[in-house]
Amino acid sequence: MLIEAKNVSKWYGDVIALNTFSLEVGPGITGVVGPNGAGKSTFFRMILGLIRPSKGYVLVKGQNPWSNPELMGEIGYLPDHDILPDNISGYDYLSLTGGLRGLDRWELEERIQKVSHQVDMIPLLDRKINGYSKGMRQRLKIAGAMIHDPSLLVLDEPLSGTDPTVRKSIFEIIESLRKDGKDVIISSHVLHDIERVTKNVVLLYRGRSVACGTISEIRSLLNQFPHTMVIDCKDPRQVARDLMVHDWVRSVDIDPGGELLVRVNEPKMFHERFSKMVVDNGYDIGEVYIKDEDLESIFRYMMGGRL
Amino acid sequence: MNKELVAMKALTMHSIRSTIMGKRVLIPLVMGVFLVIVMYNASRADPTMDGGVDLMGSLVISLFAVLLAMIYGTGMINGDIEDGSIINVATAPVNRGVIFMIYYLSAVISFTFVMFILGTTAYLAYFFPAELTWFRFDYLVSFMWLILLSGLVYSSLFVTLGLLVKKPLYIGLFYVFVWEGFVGQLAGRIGEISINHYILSIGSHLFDHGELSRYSGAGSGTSTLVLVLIWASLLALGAYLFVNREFS
Repeated sequence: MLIEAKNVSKWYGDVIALNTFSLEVGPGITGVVGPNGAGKSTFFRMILGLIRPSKGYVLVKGQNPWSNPELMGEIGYLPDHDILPDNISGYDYLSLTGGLRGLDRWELEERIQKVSHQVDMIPLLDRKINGYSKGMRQRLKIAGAMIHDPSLLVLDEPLSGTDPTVRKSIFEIIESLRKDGKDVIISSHVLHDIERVTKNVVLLYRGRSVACGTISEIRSLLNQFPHTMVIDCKDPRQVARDLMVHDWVRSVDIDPGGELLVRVNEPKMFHERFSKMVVDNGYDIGEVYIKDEDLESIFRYMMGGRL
Repeated sequence: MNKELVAMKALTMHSIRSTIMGKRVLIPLVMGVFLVIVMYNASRADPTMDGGVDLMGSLVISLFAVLLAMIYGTGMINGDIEDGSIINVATAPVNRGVIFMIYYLSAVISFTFVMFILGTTAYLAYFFPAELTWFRFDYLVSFMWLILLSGLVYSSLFVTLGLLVKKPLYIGLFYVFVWEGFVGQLAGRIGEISINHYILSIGSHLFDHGELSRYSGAGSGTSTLVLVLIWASLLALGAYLFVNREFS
């Protein structure tokens, strides 16, 4: 087992960040999904030995990460907040990060070239970080996390605030990590994003692991609860008219961006029937997904009376 | 080179650079200009050996050395905590106790480097325009020794203070100006409860001129022992706090 958390609780005064949280993460890529404040970053910081559980324990590769410098040498971390000093260049940041991880001058130079190439930052390395865009900063942080070639990467919200081009490049980086046989644990508050990089997902809500499994298992679980589907299609008015006649559709709306928002009572029914409608009526569909902020309400449903 | 040594070297260079360079480069510059103006004009007005030693003792050792140690020391770890870069350091494969000691050593090196320049400049600004026969190289070395001693002890205090409180600069300013600057100058035993008292006590044995040579403090051995105890206790406390500190 790569990561094991058993009955972990973490309090900050009266605030509980993790609540008797238990989880087992195996090798490969695992996505941790949950709304803001779910406890994703707290869990990640425990993996990195930055904080200790108030109760329970966390093991990474069978070891306690707290005060464990040897283990830290095997982990690369991308935090969700900005850790980049503004007054140095990207090259200097990578030199510092690699140096802190014990890379000597020759190894460092080789690794800087390799990871900068992977995140497409080579032409930008000599520029001061304060001149970087959000996407460049995020890519530099990823390069920093990979600089010492760790076997486990912990990426906390790597897609947050990035534009589609940067997202695409981050997805490609994660895919290349998978091909290199690295273990990656990645968080997001958007299930749709995680779906693009892995089939293994953990859902967190209010400091608890509410569901854990493959994307299809999670999807079928989510389908037991009403939520809003987003349909990106060529003729949203026609699709809306066709959908409104069904009793498993609660409401239909078209957002200012032209996407169709369908509130469904029975998601399972929606998936079965809508696929048939697409074939029968020949709709030109871009994509269909659960509205992101709707996850919060789904999580609330899933937690039921447990809170 | 051993991986841990490489990491220690990287952190030391980073800490010294971020302490001395950047916006903070203005602090020693302002201090240097102030010291040169005061020392040079004092030398021109009434140049005496006693006057020079007194000015070096009060301005350089008792004021600017403490002030600079406070600015560099309190910002050493606290600065990295505030800008988030501590995460990069705390997740490095280096023992936390070692990391704390590197921060401390970086504070001492930064302080000593800058204060040696400021102290030498101030000394030369007073004694150089005066008669050259007054120039005492051994006095310059003694002042440098007191600067190093101040750096070692005050840095242990202020680096640890940076871990104890969220806004260490305010507490540091209070300590420098109220405790060391006021309480430490009071007559009687209360004045002995300051680090400066023991540094001046050691200094009193190094000079034959000025108020400093007549400073009635503890003996050299006692002063050294007290300073070593303060230094070791503060470092042990700082290392303990850093090792057990959570970075969330």
